[in-house]
Amino acid sequence: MANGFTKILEDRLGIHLLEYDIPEHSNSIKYSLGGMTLSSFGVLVISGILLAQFFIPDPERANRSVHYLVDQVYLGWYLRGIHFWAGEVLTVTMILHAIRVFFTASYKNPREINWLIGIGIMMMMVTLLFTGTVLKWDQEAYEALAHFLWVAEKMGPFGLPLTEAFAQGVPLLNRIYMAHISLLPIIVIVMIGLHLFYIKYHKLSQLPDATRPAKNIPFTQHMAYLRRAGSGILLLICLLALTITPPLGEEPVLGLEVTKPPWQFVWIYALENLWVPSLIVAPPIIIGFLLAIPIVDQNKERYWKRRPLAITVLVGFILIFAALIIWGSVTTMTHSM
Amino acid sequence: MRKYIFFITIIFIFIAQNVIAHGEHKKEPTSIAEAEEKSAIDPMYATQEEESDPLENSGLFSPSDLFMEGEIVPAESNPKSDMKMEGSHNEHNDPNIPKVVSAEHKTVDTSAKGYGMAAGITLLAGLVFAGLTFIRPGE
Repeated sequence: MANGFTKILEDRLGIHLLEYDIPEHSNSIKYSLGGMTLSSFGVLVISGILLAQFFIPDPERANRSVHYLVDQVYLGWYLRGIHFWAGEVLTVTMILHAIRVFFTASYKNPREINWLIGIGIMMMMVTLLFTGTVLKWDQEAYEALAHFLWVAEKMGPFGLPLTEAFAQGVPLLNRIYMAHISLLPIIVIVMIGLHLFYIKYHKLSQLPDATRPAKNIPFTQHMAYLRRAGSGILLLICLLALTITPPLGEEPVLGLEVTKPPWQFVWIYALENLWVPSLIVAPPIIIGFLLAIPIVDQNKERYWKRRPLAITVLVGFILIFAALIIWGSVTTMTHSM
Repeated sequence: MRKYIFFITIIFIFIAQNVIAHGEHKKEPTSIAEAEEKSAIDPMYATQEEESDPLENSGLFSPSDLFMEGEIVPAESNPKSDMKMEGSHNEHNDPNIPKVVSAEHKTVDTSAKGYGMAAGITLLAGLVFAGLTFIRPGE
């Protein structure tokens, strides 16, 4: 009976098309980090839709509405915690995924396009993280937005659409909310679709040190593995939401600069402390560097031991970021914008 | 011909009845202000006085903040566009400036609304993960 029903579903829904072969090593944690990131994104979308029912995207009410959600709404604190921690877990798995792809040189010919799309997704995720930080409209949010506006103003006409002057009378928070819940997620979903399409088109990369083609498994077996990995990610998010509340301050005091950004942005806070214009200079340099990797690195070698320069760059990149995050976390700002 | 006359007569009678019913068909046109005033007390839109707003005392909404502070303010007078920040990070000793308490991570209070349910949802997520890990269906 069950087999008959499954067969009906397979026939009607075309599930048998998912039976195509992929390398066996895809069923490992390091090759499932992208799937885990996708799981976190799914949690973010669902929890975000629920959060949107309680959020008032208005500078006068936004912070109070978040406090109301956390303090008064049944399970509101848990819902916000799940959204917050899903964002944190997504950041970690996404970075680890990018490191794995670089380490195994999976960005090389013919998969350059998917590296570029992946960097695009990462940029969109960082933007979503930033806009989400601003929406709670506490001191940290206000200062983040103030820095962003400073950069936007320095960009002249290119930054104009990102400032309040672009749509006078409309609170910028309102436009950021629109971007956070519609524009950016739509772009991300389209880019994820493209990312998945090119994984299917170019096939999952073979192991870098493989001497012969790997044994294959059906993709549905990998889906079962990803389902387990996704449930593990969900459990982790739920546990974190159950035990640790995300930070939430009171309404901002305009004109003050007293907080630090979330850890994902602390490195730029540290750079700003060294040299204020790095706020403008550093992000495009880093993005340009990441985008240039598959174009500059034309070496066909994929095994890490035979790519000393690339691995040195990777380790250096990680160390610099780690050092900036640690230093940014312990230092105090010495300048005044 | 009689049929037409009868038909027209009927129509005029109906029109006349309509005029008589409304009476003031030569009344001056109503001004916009009057129309708005009337619409404000239109029973279709008017709220009954005895109805109270359930969120009135919640502190979340205020009837006076239809337009927000700074919403229709010229860009040059908007404090957010003025990027001169006061003082340095974590240091502001001016008594005129309100003290800002930085937001931190905290441990969840077990008396939070729905904590038991949240624990149950987490436990369910754990059971699903454990089940998939031990049984491994489809793997």
